Amino acid sequence: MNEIEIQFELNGETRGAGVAPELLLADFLRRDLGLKGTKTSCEVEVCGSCTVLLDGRPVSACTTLAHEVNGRSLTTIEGLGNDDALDPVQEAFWEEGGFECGFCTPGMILAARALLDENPDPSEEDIKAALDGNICRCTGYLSIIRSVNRAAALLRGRETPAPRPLDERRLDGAAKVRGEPVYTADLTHPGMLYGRVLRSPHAHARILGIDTSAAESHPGVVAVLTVADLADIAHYHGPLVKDTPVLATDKVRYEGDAVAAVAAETLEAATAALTLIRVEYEPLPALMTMDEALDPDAPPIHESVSDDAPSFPGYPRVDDEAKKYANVSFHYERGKGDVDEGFAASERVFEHTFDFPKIAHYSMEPQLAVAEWREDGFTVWASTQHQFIVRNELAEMFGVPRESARVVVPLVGGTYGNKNHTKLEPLAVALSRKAGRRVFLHLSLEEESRIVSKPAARVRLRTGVDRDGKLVARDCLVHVDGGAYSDSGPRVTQKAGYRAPGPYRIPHLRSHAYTVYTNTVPAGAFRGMGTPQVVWAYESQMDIIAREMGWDPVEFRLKNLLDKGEEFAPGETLLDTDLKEGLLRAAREIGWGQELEPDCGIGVACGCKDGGGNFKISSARVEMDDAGGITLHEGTIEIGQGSHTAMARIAAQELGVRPTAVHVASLDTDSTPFDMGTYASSATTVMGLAVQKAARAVRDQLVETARSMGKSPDAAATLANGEVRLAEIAFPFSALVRHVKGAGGVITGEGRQVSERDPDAPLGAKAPFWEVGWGAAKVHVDRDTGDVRVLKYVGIADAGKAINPQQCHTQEQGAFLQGLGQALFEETVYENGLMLTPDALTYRLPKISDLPDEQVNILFENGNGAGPYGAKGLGESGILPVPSAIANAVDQAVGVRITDLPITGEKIWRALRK
Amino acid sequence: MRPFHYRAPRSLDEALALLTPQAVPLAGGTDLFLKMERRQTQADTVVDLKRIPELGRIEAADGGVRIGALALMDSLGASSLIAGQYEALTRSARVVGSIQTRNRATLGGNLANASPAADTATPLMALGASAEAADATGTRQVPVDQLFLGPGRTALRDGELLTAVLVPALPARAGSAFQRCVRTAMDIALVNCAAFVRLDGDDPDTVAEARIALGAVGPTPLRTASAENCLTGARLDERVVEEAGECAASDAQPIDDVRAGADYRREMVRVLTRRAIWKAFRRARGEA
Ligand SMILES: Cc1cc2nc3c(=O)[nH]c(=O)nc-3n(C[C@H](O)[C@H](O)[C@H](O)COP(=O)(O)OP(=O)(O)OC[C@H]3O[C@@H](n4cnc5c(N)ncnc54)[C@H](O)[C@@H]3O)c2cc1C
Ligand code: FES
Ligand code: FES
Repeated sequence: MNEIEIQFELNGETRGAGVAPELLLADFLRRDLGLKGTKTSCEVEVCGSCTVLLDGRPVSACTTLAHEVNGRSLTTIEGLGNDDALDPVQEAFWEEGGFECGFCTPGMILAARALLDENPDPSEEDIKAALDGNICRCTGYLSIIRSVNRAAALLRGRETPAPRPLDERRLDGAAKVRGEPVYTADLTHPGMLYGRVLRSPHAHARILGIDTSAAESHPGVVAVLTVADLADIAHYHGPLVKDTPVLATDKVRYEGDAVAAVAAETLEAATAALTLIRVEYEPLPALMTMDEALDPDAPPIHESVSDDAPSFPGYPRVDDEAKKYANVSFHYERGKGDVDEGFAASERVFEHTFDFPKIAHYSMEPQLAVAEWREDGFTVWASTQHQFIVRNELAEMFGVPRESARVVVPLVGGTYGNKNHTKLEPLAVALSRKAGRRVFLHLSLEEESRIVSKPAARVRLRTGVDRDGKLVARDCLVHVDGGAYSDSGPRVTQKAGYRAPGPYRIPHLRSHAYTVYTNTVPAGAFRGMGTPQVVWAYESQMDIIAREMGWDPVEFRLKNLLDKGEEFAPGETLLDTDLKEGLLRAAREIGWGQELEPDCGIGVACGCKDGGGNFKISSARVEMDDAGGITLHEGTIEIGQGSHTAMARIAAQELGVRPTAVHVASLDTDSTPFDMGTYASSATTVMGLAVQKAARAVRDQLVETARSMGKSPDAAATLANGEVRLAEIAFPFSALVRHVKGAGGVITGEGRQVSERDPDAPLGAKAPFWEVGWGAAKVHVDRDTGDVRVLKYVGIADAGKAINPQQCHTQEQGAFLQGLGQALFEETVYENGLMLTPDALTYRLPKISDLPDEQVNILFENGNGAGPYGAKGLGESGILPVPSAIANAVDQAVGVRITDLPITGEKIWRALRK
Repeated sequence: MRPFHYRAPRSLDEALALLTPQAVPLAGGTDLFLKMERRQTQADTVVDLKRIPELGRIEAADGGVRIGALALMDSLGASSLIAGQYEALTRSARVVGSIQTRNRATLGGNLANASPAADTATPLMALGASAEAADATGTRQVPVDQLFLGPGRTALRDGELLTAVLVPALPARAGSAFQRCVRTAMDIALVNCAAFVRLDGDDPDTVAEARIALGAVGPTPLRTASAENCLTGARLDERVVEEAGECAASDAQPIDDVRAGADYRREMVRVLTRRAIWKAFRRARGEA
C-alpha cells in the first residue's frame, strides 16, 4: 500500500523517509535505519526495552507506527552523548553498574533521561513511577535507582559525586549504555534470510500430513523445512537424554512444539508463509499435570527413548524404579540410616507437600541463532551459554568435523538457564543448509516461553523431630514436571533430590526424585537448578514445625544446621561456610524478636547448593604482544553477570596492570580455548583459576626473562605499570617479549582448571564450593484483600572474596527480585492444553515498583572460596530463601500458611476466610 | 503488522467522511494494534484521529470540563482542571499502564475500546459524565453509563466517533475516589471502583447523592443502584458503608478466570467500595 512521506528530526538531524503505513517505529529504526540501540523484546508495550523519546516523552517503539514521528522530534539512545563523551545519564549508569546484560539499558536510560528533564530532583517514588514501564529481568533495579540518583546529581551540577575510575567499572559498560549492537539480536547481514518456526497449536497430537506447497510459492520464501529434510542427520538432541527432535516427527508433544520452519527474504514474508503451511493433526489426549502423567493408565508421551542415551556418571538414567512409570524419564535416590527407624524414634513426625509452579525465564533477548551453512561446514552465531557443547553436538548431528563447525557468541541479552545447551541452533543450521544462505532465526518473546521453562515441582517432606528440637529423620519425595522433552530436567531433578534434605544434620535420610514427562513446555535449568523448589519446601516446613512445637524458628534451625567443615553427604566437599553466622545476621538485621505492628510478620530462611558444577573444565590463554598488550582468551560468556570484568581483573592482578589494560577477546570456538559452559555460578571459581594460571604462566616467563637479562637469577621481582622490576632495574614488558620472541612475537600463558571426577563423590565429582543464601523478610498483609507488601528484605550471600563487589551486589539483588516474582506473582498457567500466560501482558513480571520499601544486601567475604584469592561463585544463592522467608513472614503476620506458590492475595484471603 | 491503508484527516468532518465500514478509527493505538496483531478486526483502513487538533483539548465548559476524546492519559492525569476536583478521574488516568502507555493512550480510546476493566470508565460514570458522539448528521450526547453494551461493544453507531467527554460541574460538598485491585504494578484491574458522594447542605454526615461504579466485574463497567440507594439520605457510618459494600458486591457479576476467582472479585468489590466511599466522603468534607 502507499508509502507515507515523513519528515522528522532524528537525534537532532532532519530526516526524510517514505514508510509503509503499518511499519512499526522499532522496525524502521532497527532494520531500515540500522539503529540497533532500540532493543525489542516483548513487542506488546510492556517491557520498555524499545523506549524512545518522541518530543522528549518516552513511548514504546514496538507499538508506535513509524510515520507517527512525522513532524516531530525523535531521540534514540544513539542521540545521547557523542563520540567523545557520554550523556550524564549514560555515564551514571556505567559508574553505578545500573545494568547487567544491558538489553533493557538503552530504554531504561531514555526513560530516566525523560524523567530528569522534567524533574531534576526526583524522589525514589518519582523514579519508580517513571521507570515502571521498563522491565529489567537482571539487576533487581536497585543499581538502576542508584544510577538515576547519580545522574540527577551530575545534571544538577551541584555536589557532583567524584567520578568512578574506569578501572573500577564494568568493561562492557560503554558499549551497553550506548546501545551498541553487541547481541545476536543485532546481527543482521546483507543478503541474509529470516527464519521463523511453525509451532503446534495442540498439546498432544499425531501429525498426519504437512502440505508446504502454498508456503513455498509465497513471494520471498526461499525454503520451507520439514522433518523430511532431516533424514540424513542425527535428528535428536539433548544434554542428557537425546529425546528432543529438531522438528516434531510423528507427533507433537506440547503446544509450541516446532513442526516446520521457513526461511524468507524478509521477516514479514517468513511470518506470512507460516500461515500457509497446512498441517493435519489427529489430537491425542493431553497429560497436562504430573498427576495425569503418573496415573498407572496414562499412555506414554514418548513411546520410546533409547536407553543408551548418555547419562551422567554415578546414576543410571532409567533404573527399575523409573521403568515402573510410562512417563518418568529419570529417577534419583539417596539415603542414609534408616528412615523408618528414625520416624519410630521421633517425638513427632510432620508431613507436608509444597508446590512450585512452572516459571518463565523471560530473558529480554529471546533465544536467537544465526546460521550459515557452507560446503565445508558451518558457522552459528548464538545467544547461548554453552558454545563448545553446542558446537560438538551440532557437529555430531550434521556429521561435520568439529573443527569445521564454528560457534560465535556475542554478548548475551540475559539468560538464567534458558540458553543452556543446544536449543534452536540445529534448526537454524538445518534451515540454512536447505536455503543455501545465511539465516537469522527469529523468535518472538512469546515463542521464547515455549522453548524452555523452570520446572514445576511438588515436594513432599516427612520430617521427624525429637523432644529437644533435633531433626531425627527426613523423607523427601520430589516430582519435577519436566515437560515434553528432557532438556536439563533430569539434571535439575538429580540436584533437587540431592539437595532436598537441606543443610541440616539429619541422622536418617531418604530422598527420591522423579522427572515426569507432561504435555507442557520442556523444563530445564533456571537459576538454582532445582534448589529453589526444595528450599521452598524445607524452609517452609522448618517454620511449620517450629510453630507447632512452640519453638523459635531461628533457634530450631540453629540447633540443626550443619557446622562449617561438616559433611553434607559422604564424599562431598565439606561445608565451607558458617551457616549459623549468616542466619543470626539475617535475623538481627530484620529485627527478629522485636515487637511488630499489627498484621506484620517476619520470616527467615536459608538454603544452599553445591556450587560450581560437577565436571567443569575451563581453559584460558593470556597473550602478551611485543608492545606489552595483553589479550585474554577465555570462554566464559558475558551474560550480564560481569564475567569479562572479573576475568580481566584476575589477569590484571597477576600481571600488575590495570584491568582496562586487559583486552578480553570475543568468543569464537575457532580461537577460544575450551570451556564447558557458563553455568552453576562456576565462572569466577573454575574459570577464574584457569585465568589466574594462564596469567601466572605469562608472569613467570616475564620474570625469568628479566632475571636472565639482568643476570640476577635470584632477584626478587615485582610486576607493576607494565614492567618487571628487579631491585633497581625495570624491564618493560615490551622489551621482555621482544627479547624472547623477537619483534612481532607473543608470549603465551595457558591455564586449565578441571574439577576431577571422583567415584566416591555423591554426584560423581566433588562440588568446587558451597553456594549459600540467607534471607529475612518483613511483610505486611492486608487482611481485606490478602495483598502482601514486603516492607523489608535482608539478603546475605557468601562471596568468599568479592572480585567486583558492586557486581556481586547486583547479582544478588537480581536473584532476589526473581525470587520475589516467584514468591508473589509468577506462574505459567495452562488451560485445556494451551498456555494462557505466554507473553508479558499475561505473565506477571516484577516491576520496579514491586520492590520492597527497604532492602539490605550483605556479602560475606571470609576468603573461604576455592577460587582465586578465596573467591567463590554467587548469583544463584540470592533466589533460594526468598519465597520461604516471605511465606514464613506471612504466617507470622496473619496465621496463614501458603504451601503453593505464588502467594497471591486471593490465596491468603481464602485461607483467612476458613 | 498486517498492511493497511492509512488516512490522517485534519478535521472532524474529513474524518467522519472517511469512516466507511472497512475503516477503523485510530487514537493512541495501544489497544487497536494488539487487536490488529490478533486479527480481531477486519478493517483494512485506519483513520488516524491524532491530527485533528480540537479533539485533543481539555477545557473548562459549563462549569465543568470538556475533555477531547484524543486527550492523552498523561495530560489527563496532570491536568489542573481535573486534579483536585475530579479526584477519581485523575487517579484512574495515572494508573493506566506505564508512562509509555500514558503518553499514547487516549481517553476516547479507553472508552471506545469498551473493556469491562477500562479504568477511566468507572470514574466518569460516578461523576455523571456524558460522551459526545458525532457523525455526518450531527452530534449527540450519551451518558457514559449508557455507553457500554458488552465487552468491546459501545452505543456508538456505525460511522460515529467519540469526540469528547463532558464532566459536569462538581457540586459543593462533593467528592470522588477511585480504587483498584491489581496483582502487580502495571496490571489490568482485577476489580476497580469509583465513588461519588455529595453531602447534605445542612448535615455534613448525611449523603444527599451517591453514584458508585464498578469495573471488571461484569460484561461492562456498571453502576450499582442498590449501593447508591443505601447511601442516599443516610448518615454515613461504618454500618452504612458496610451495607453499601454488601450491596455493591451483590450487584457485581464477576466471572472466574486465570487471574482471580469470581468470589474473590466479589469480595474485592465490597472492600474497594467501602474504601472508595470513605475516601470520597472525606474529600466531600474537605478533609482530604
Ligand atoms: C501495556 C498496556 C497497559 C495497559 N494498562 C491499562 C490499564 O491499566 N487500564 C486501562 O484501562 N487500560 C489499559 N490499557 C489499555 C489501553 O491502553 C487503554 O484502553 C487506552 O486508553 C486505549 O486508548 P488508545 O488511544 O490507545 O486507543 P486505540 O487503541 O487507538 O483505540 C481503541 C479502540 O477504540 C477505537 N477508538 C479510538 N478512539 C476512538 C474515537 N474517538 N471514537 C471511536 N472509536 C475510537 C479504536 O478504533 C479501537 O477499536 C493498557 C494497554 C497496554 C498496551
Ligand atoms: S515495550 Fe516494546 S519491546 Fe517491550
Ligand atoms: S540488564 Fe536489564 S534485562 Fe538484563
